[in-house]
Amino acid sequence: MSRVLESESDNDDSGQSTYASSLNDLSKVQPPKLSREQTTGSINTSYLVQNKLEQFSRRLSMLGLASSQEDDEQISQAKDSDYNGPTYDSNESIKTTQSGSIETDGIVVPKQKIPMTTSLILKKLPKATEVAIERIQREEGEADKSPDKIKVQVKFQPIGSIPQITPSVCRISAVQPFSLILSFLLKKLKIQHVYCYINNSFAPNPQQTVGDLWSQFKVDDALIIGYCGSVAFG
Amino acid sequence: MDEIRNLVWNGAINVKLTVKSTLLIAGVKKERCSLNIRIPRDIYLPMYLPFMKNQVKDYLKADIDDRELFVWFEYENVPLYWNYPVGVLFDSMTSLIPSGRKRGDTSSSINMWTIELAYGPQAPSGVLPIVKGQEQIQGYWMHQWKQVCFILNGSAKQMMSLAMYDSKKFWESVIKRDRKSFEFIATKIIPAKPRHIPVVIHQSLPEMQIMQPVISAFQADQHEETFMDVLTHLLPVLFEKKGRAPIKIVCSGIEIPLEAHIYETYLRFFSFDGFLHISLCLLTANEVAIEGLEN
Repeated sequence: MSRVLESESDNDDSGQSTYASSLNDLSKVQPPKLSREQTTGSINTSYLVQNKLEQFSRRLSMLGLASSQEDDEQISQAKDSDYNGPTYDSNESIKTTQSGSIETDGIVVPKQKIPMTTSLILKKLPKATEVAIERIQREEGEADKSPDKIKVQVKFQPIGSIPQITPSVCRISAVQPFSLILSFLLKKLKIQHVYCYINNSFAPNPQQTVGDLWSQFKVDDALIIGYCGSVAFG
Repeated sequence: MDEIRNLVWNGAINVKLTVKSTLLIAGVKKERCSLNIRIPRDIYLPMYLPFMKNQVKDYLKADIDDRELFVWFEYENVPLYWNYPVGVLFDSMTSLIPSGRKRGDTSSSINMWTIELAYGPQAPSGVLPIVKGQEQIQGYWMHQWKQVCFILNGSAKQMMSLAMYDSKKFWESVIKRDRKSFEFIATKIIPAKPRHIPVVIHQSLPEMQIMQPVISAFQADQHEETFMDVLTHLLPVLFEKKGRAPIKIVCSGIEIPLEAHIYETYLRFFSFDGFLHISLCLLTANEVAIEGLEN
């Protein structure tokens, strides 16, 4: 078992060094001069050792559970799909109604904050722009409150041995990001990892809104999402 | 056109990378642990992560190579979405209008964009966690190109039918900053008559928003679609007064006229991920006065 661990970490290291050397070609990066104090170095070493030990013990427990190269490979997708953290982990709030509508009530679309210095521009706007922005915000606020938010139709198609979900056609709010669909599938299929492809071609950026994807790639008014338990299109 | 492509490809930003002070070992000053790097605009920030980690790791409280820790970047405490090119992040996050920046320039000054490196047990909401390093970045980039190919051609066939050698070379051209090889393959994917144009619109004010609308090269009456046409449709309230838009389009750090044809602009300014990224910047009262746009 220890051999497995060693070889894994060896691979990691070699991978990194090739990458680092290729990055040197990348552009003229000037390495900064960081002076290193002895004391800092020693503190750091102890941190390193402690962390490495923890890492190994975690790996050992993983090896005990299942054979795991595959697991390792799939972790990324799992993390991709629930990257929204707590917001979407409260999966209880993603439900399908009988009419096949994915209800996302209570799930707030995550919005990126505005950096402080940038937001100061808002205070220096000409009057006309200010008025226009107020109007946009008011209209958006009203649209959010209205019960019939715009929903789009999505159609799920299993790829490979993964089960078909019912209903296979659902409706989802257009403003939600694609990551919500990943979370929905994980919950519905009770699995750990899922890979989704639009029109059997590409995996979209999970941050993109379902509405934007729908308007660009819909086929007969539905966004066709193929899903699979492993990588289907690399 | 070749000249513009060359400028777009070689555009770079001076970045000052610091580490969040709470994550530094007690006693280490923030200034000590900072890096000055010149990064091409047309690249993903984490491609420099191994180099950055290497430079700062001795000053951090935890081992950031630990697989349980996520690493991300922040600008003024706002997490950056690494999966967009660096230049686009700079343009949209600072919302700077290039002419304003120019006025602040002097021969003895240097523009720096200060960003912070942060890490923790969970990536911030909305940020894609980096878990597989370069392999993950390459995979993401390939799928972005497939999506671009689908938008341009109506299917991802051109991208899927690339020879293994070509698709490997495509990614290598990005890493090695080899524009010729990059464009040799990109032109196999970009058609003369596109179905739609892959454009990503980054709006930062009044709130952060990223839009990817359906944009055709031509309108129904055969005239070429301009930015004005698209934005009037997307943000009608801001474009009510004809010819007095309170907004500027910034792409690769320069202003693009609203009357510019989109596909023409795409061919000159498309990014290394195949999309044309534009940032919408609001004009301040001061700038409106200078440009003589007032009533």
